Amino acid sequence: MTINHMAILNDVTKCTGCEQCVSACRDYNALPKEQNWRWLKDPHELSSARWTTIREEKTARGRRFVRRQCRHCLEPACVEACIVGALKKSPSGAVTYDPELCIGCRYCMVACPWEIPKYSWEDRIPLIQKCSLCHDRVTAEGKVPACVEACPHGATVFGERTELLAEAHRRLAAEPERYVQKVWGEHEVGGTSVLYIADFDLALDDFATHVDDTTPVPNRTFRVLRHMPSVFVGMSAVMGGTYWIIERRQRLQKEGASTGAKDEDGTGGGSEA
Amino acid sequence: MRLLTVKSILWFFAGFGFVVILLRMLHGVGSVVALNDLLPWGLWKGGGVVALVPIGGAGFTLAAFVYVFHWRRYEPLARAAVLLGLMCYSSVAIGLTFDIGIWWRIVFPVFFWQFHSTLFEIAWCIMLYLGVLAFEFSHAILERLRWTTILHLVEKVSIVFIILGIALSTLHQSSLGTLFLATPYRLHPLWYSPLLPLLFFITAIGLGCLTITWVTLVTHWLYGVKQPLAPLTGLARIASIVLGAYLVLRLGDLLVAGKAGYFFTPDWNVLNFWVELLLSAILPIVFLSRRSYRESPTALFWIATAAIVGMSLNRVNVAGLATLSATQATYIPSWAEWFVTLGILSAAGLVYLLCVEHLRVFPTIGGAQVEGAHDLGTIDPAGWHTTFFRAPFAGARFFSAVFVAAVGLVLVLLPDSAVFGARPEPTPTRGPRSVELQRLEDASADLVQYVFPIEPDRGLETQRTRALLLDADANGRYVLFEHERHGDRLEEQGRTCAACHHQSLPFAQASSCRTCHRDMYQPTQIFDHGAHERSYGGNADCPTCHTDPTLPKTKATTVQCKECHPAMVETETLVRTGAGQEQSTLASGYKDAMHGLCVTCHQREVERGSKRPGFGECSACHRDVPTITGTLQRLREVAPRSTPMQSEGGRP
Repeated sequence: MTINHMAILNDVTKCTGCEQCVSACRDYNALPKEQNWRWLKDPHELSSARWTTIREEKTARGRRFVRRQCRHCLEPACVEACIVGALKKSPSGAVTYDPELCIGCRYCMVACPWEIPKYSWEDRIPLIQKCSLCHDRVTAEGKVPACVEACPHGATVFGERTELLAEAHRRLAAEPERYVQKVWGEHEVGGTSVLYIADFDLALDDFATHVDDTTPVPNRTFRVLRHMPSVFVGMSAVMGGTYWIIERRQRLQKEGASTGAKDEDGTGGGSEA
Repeated sequence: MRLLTVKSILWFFAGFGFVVILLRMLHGVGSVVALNDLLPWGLWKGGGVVALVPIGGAGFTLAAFVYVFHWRRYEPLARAAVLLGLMCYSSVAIGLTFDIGIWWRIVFPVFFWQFHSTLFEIAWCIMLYLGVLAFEFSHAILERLRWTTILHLVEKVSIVFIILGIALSTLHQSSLGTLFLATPYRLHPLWYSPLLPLLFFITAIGLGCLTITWVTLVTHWLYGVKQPLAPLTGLARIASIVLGAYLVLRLGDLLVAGKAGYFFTPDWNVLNFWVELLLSAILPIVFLSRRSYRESPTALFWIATAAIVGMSLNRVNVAGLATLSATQATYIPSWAEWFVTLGILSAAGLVYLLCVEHLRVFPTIGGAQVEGAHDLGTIDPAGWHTTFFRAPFAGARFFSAVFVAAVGLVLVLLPDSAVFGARPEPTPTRGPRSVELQRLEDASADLVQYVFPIEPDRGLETQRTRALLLDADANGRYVLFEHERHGDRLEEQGRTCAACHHQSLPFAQASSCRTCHRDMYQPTQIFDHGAHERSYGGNADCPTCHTDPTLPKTKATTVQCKECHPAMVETETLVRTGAGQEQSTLASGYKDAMHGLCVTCHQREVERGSKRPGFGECSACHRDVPTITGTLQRLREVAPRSTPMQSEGGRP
């Protein structure tokens, strides 16, 4: 299996909410024991002790279970935000985290359009906590991620993103009355490596207005940020030029005043508008 | 006397901040802040960094006015503005150090470069600009030291640094706005705008004019010196023009973006928006447009105060407050956060006053006025306090006392989690409820269904049963536990009630789970030393259990429970009480206990060939999978019509 932009496809219609993926994730990543911390709204949600979780949704067709985890965006906001490069988009497709570099500024948590990165507030040396798509396990051991391996119902599968997209569309076409004709994660914020198909209208984020546009978050900041070198040079030039012009004019005025007839004093500098 | 009072207050708050910073270094940031995963940036980032940087914008604004535009009228304020910038940016640097999770890594951006990160750009700009400010202010220090040769050198190149400082400020003042371009979904539409960088830059100029005005007014008032009104009036006019431009841009942008619909909707955010806009722009513009207000120190003070409060509110809104409704996060800054914010600002204020007193910051303040302001006035020379607060260093002695008092007081005021580090919240377990159900069994498909409420005409093949509804942590997610059926199954296997009721209270047959497992997550102590002591007559009878008085009194050297309580059930499961086993008096957390017991047994059933789908999975108990609980899909609705179980007593 070549490691080339690996992805996960979650078929919500197949998930029974058994949470085998959650316990497999906890075991493989040696996550801490769940506790009722003051800052947790619900210990059942994503937290430093849960990199993936199952959320129950009530739909017109009955109960559905949606797995939440890092979406591993194709153009990740967190990677763009990270001040020291602790978060990286690896060639395998996973957004990985280097705890040795992280300074704990938490801008990734602010920038993430899915509110995925969590913080281990309980630790003296707190770190960002999020799904790594089992990067080491996939690249070094050649296995599939722990959650995928644990799933007894084939609701979550692992593979190359292009193939999984094709597979998703195949499933949508095969049973058009079963699925909503949409692959979540195909286009949102420039596309994500975790894809969803479902039989109801999924909301993958918790915001009041849901993430719906295809602009990658990094584009929003870089659109401005890329002009900064020219702003710097431009501002310096304008300020330097202004200084030079006014300085010269005042010097000439002063010289004129001292050589010529007695004028009012030269220090008044009448250049104020 | 007013200087003494203000300085005492500053020293007091500095003491508060000092303690919390120490505690934060000891226990980590999570123990002192009220932040959470939904709101990772709060008072320290919003108020301490994003709002304080434009307040320090006075430095570059005045530097541009005086040294680049040669507006000599403002020269008396230039150095004070640079010092204000220096204090603000130092506070930002210190605040940021303690806000980030791993404070000693604050220097990492120097070594690990990320050109695509807005925060990286801001970090570098602030770092470099702090150097520029220090350089600009070095004039005052060199002057005082009379190092004239170096002073001349510094003056020669200073224009380069001033222009560098202006360019750096342009970058990071606007980039603070760029930061929040990444949060289109979090930030309320009234604040989110592609113009954020521009708005942040413009307001930094307007606010800069008013912060230096405020500082000048307050400092002159403190030292009882006549206010230098001429430059202040000019600054007020510039501020009103700049803030006017800001108001037009901001409202124009909202109108063009079609967000006018928000303006008058009854919503907390909209109220916040209008309060912010009124304080930060509308009121200052209206009042500063009148000459009489521009020339009155009192009016100027209140207008500048409103603008500073309003503009800080703007930054705090963008950085977090206006994201609360979109993220449904809850956040009220903890006392510790307030103390650190106030503490750092107070310390900066004290350093500012120190510089004002000893260097030529304001040409109008120095020498005699400073001496006069420190006059303690009518303190009784024979009073008790004069013995301690006496010259020399009367002031220093007094302020030290205030500082120490603050340190003591804050340790008393802070919650335990801040002083001793965060601990998990206790989650006391709640007892089960009992409900009568109708049970339908389809043996061929190994399918069980429950009906509630009972329908008598369902036929004879149904049987009534009593089930327990378990929701120990009261989160509304119930587990249906059919007690009788579990008992029957154990009996079939030749096991006893003790398989689950592995240990009961003395004189009780089967204590319920939560008798010992009293917390959802944390282990609880089940041995009641006090009760034993009382029943044996106080201290007199320690040797009843601690048989050998020469040995240290530990669990290992103590009589085993079973020796006195022979009826105690020999455990099949987790707790060890029998002879030869290590004695444990800790009951594991409720969740661990249940999972340890239920999951083990369920998985054994699966291995033995249970046909029920998903029998060994979490959903067997936690979800209403149709094959298991059938029509009973609304346990939450059933629960109110069930009866709470009484926990039976056991102790005599």
